[in-house]
Amino acid sequence: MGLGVYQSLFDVFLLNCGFAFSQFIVLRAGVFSIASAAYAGIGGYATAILVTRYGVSAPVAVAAATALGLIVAGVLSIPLARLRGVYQAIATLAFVEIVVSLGFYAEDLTGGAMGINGIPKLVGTGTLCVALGAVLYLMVAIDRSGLGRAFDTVRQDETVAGSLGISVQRSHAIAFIISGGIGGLFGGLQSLYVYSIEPQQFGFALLVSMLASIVLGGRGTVIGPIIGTAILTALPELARPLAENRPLIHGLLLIVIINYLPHGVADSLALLRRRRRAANAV
Amino acid sequence: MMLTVKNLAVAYDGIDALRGIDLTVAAGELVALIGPNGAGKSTLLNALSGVVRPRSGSISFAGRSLSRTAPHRISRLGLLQVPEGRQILADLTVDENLLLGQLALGARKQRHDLASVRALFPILAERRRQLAGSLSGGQQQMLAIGRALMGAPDMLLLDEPSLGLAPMICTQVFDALRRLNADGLTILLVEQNATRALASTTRAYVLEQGRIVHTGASADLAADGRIIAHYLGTETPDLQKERDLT
Repeated sequence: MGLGVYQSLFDVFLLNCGFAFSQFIVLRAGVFSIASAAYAGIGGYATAILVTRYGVSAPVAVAAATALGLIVAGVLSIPLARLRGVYQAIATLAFVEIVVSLGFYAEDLTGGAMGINGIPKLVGTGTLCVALGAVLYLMVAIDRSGLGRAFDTVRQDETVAGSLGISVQRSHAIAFIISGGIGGLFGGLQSLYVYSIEPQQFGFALLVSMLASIVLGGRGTVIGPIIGTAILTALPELARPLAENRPLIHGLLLIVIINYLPHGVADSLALLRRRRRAANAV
Repeated sequence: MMLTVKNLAVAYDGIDALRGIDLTVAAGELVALIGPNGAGKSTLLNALSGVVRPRSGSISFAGRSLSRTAPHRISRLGLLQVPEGRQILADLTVDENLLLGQLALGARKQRHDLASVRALFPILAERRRQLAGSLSGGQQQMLAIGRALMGAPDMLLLDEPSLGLAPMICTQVFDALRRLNADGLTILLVEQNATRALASTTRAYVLEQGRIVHTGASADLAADGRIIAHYLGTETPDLQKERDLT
């Protein structure tokens, strides 16, 4: 029985990792989009509706959710191309709220506040591992390609990016679209894992936990979101005896890490190692 | 002409930053653009590199109009800016920064590689694995110029390369620019340090309050009484020192 508990915790960790990478990729490119929760909601509802009402097979439904995420993010990136920083955050937060509201009020389609129940559980640890593996492969490939460097440059300074022949608009749009695809994919997988979905679960709380895993883990390296998610997934379990004080521990941990490891756990350690190696190289 | 600017005007929120700018740079020239702080020097460079949209007038580079071209396309055409304040990527190593410069190549052929950039700035070879953020200001300026060279520029735009550099380092940077120019690179140099800019270039434009007020051979301008009074002679040693520190 003990193993079963850990396995479901591991599954939740895999799902949260997927969500974290949807958030990670936009921040990497210097886009302060927090629309990932909305992509997850769109992917989740699309999959649940296709599977429960139209009897579509799981792989096709999840593929459709991913495609929908890509398309929605691509369309969203056009009006948002003119915004930067905190204005992007505000606009994408509004988008998240719109998607949640649609979940509540488009009752015929989404089941309203009751959500969609009785979704068959068609996704297990294996599928989640494969999906996360694919996302990790994509992230590492981007990291090692010119696109990763382009993202880093755009994030630091847009004038410099221009002077290096990097299109800021294109980089931002690519980051948006990848984020949408990953969000839609894992939203879809989650729906086929949790039996039922409701609008509330794609709102502010999900958005904060996605952002928190990047803040905790770091946005510079691929390992960052995984470490952040591992901490955030394990912590509530470890702090279980503290019951209602769990959010307190959560908040404390964030404050400590932001203060002492401002680049996140993974990036701060990587930076330290690089500095040391660079110092030895002199 | 490599670069032709005709009757260029740029306005920020309706306030004129540049008016009636006519400027040409022929292939192989090393031209200075000098003028006091706030004259519009950086605005002009940013208009050339596409960061700022002109209100009217035309810019053409190697026979192509640039008036509506995006910054990254202008770079890929071979008109590269080395931005003010160097702007290297502090968390990447020296070599990684240099390789980043190749992104501006587009479909064009490479002209400089790591070896030729290191030959020009030997310090970059010594520091190749060091994080760029740990370099001194002068070394960062050399890295920024080296990074631009990796993008095979036909013409280089430099924004205040002497800013904040010790005089000796400044001399090294200007020597490197002269050597690059001797090898055929066309350069437009924006400088507040007029003495040094006029000593290193063949021709110069003087910008004041958004207009070009003088133009001619650098040697003539450096000997011109009005220019000396306006731009070279009026500074007290204290002011000069203060600028060297910033």
